[in-house]
Amino acid sequence: MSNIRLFFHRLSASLRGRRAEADLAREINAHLQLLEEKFVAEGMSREEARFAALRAFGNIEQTKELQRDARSFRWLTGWTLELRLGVRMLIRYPGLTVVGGLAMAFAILVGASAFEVVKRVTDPVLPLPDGEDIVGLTYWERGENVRKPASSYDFLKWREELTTLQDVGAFRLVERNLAADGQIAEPVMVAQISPAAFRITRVPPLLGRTLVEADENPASPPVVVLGHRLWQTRFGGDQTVVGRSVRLGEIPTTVVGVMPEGFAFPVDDTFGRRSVRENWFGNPVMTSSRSLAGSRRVRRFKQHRRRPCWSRREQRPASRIAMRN
Amino acid sequence: MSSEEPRVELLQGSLDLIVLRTLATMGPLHAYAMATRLEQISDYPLDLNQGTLYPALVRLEQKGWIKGSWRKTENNREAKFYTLTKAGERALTNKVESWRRLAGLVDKLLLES
Repeated sequence: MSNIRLFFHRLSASLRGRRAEADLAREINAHLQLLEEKFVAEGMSREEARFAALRAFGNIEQTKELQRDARSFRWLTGWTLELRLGVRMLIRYPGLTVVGGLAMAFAILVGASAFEVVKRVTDPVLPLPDGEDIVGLTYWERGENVRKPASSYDFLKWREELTTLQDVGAFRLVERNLAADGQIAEPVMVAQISPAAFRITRVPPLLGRTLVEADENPASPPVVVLGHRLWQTRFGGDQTVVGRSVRLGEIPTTVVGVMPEGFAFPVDDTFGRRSVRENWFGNPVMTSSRSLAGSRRVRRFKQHRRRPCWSRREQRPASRIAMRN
Repeated sequence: MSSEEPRVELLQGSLDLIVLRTLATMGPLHAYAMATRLEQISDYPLDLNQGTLYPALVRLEQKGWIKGSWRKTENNREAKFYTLTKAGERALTNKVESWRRLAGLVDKLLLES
């Protein structure tokens, strides 16, 4: 207890050094005068008495120094001096100050931007509402350290079983010839995509509608949503484009909507109907190495990430689901 | 400053005890009076720079064993008088006790033939 008390006393003395210093000087001065008077009373001259007093007292500066040591923390009282010296040196050598300042600014800039780059690579965020909540799902072959394609079956299983994900969508990229009203067919990039992907982005269409659950049914008529750029270049920004019939590859398809400018998830051309059930048995649909499923995660996702995600991983010893933002 | 006689050197750590004891017997004193008192009661000249009292005084004050305040001396000079506190009285009792033990031990050793 008394150690704590001592500590605070010394701390406060360190911070109120000037007052304690003045007090000490006054005290020593009084002491010297008393000594001096004594020597005068003993018959010395004033001059002699003063020197005798100083001798009797001992080294004044040393006394002050020892008292300071006992009174406060020297390292703490010293810093104001160091600070003043530092500032004076900076003022005295302005060139050096400027060069040093610029060097530090540059170093901070480099450090900060490197950090930003690393963050974007390791933890990218989609430019969508709550984009940080959207993650990508894919298989990762640990032995070869490569990404493995997921199949429609995987997607359906994920959607069914991953309870920490709010919604799971899937897409794959294909190239198709697009022909409209007797125009020459030209190839466009098409994302075959599940309706959930549109829900995940939370971006409303500019015209018409996005894909809905009913479009997933193989028996439903083929539909397509146009990207803004394609709508401008191939359809001249036609406001009545919704409902028109186009040919996507060999299949007559109905345009049901147009997405706003800047929307690209994952391409900005067209977003075609994605029927998962047509490949229910056999061939995996998502054979492209770029296949992945977008999903919106819920709170418990972080716990999930630490544990193996695939509940039946015993059946797939070489593969795990890897998750990335 | 006079003498061929051997001077008494204060033992490390004994100064606290001396200050506390002096204040206990003499009542409030300033540093100069304490030094004078020590010289008076010593049988031999003390090797004491009067300034060496100050670190001890500030240490004791921070421990809360003594308390300093500015007052007038009898010949109307300002000086800082130190008073023993309650905590100081207790500390003195302890210190006297441990000093007696140490001194007793040393005496015993010296008396052994």
